[in-house]
Amino acid sequence: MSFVNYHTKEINCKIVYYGPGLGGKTTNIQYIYQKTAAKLKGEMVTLNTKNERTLFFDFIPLDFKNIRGFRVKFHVYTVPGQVFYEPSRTMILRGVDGVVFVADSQVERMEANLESFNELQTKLSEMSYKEGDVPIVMQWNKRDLPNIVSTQDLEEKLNKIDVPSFEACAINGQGVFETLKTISKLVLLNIKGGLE
Amino acid sequence: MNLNATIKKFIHENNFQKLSERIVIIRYDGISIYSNAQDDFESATICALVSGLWQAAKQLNTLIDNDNDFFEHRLSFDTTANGLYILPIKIFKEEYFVCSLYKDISNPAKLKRDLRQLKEKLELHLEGVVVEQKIDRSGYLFKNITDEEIDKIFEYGV
Repeated sequence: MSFVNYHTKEINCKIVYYGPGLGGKTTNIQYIYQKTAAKLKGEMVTLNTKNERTLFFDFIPLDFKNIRGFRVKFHVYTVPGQVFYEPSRTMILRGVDGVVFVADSQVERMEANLESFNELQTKLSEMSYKEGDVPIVMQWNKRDLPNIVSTQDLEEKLNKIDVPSFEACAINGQGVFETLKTISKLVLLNIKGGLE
Repeated sequence: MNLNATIKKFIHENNFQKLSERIVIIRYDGISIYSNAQDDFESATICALVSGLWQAAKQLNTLIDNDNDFFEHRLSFDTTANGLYILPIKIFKEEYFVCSLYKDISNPAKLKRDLRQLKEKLELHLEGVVVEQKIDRSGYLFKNITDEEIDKIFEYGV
């Protein structure tokens, strides 16, 4: 749930990168962190296991320029993708304003993608969000690898709700900012609290 | 009513901001409502971590006790002089936290007592000021945003 401070003209929003384990969520936000000017970002926080898998979450605070007189602050999180960290994903989704679903395009990861996306929908529903309440953007990641599912198949199986989607190769930055820009726009357009 | 300004005014009028190195008030989802830190990014990071820490502790506790009122709990991670202390606080029926990060404190017990006073006094104070100043803000904040405007706020990027 975004927080608008009308006194200081500040908007705070929470964006969560969701998806199956090893799908590239952390790689996305590492790229965002690397390419963002120092004065616009805080330190990246990573709570990892010893072998660099996300244990709890990754986090970057971003402080953007003004949009129509409001300073925009995005709090960007990733969830741990491994199945057994399900309680952590629930915690991180609390108060979410927008979700980027990072799907792994490899054929052998389709089942994991479906399982993760179904879990996301269930969690949002359990938090009393109706379909469309929380903007979602799909990212078809790892398009550079062999043995990948066609984007048409990904759309048919994962994007039945027909939200914006982007092909990506997060490791070299392809599609990373396009995805972030789109979810940012949708989140900003979804903020309740019109000006009097 | 502006929640941030009201809380800031209350804290500074009562000198609570001087209790420790960092005093932050955080919404359940990790959004900062008040911070005495100069660095906004540091505040955002503290808030994200405290929110996660509290929720993880809460989840752990439900393994042995499901009937607890979490507004009565407190969370400490400390040595005899340094550490952090988190208290839940109810504001407009929602869950917030008061968190103190402290260093080289000679009497942590006193600090914790002062923080519990901050919590109680702030809850009471907000009960009194909210209703009369409430503003109804209906509809969306932005009716439209162009791609060019989004490109502009991202122009630091690739």
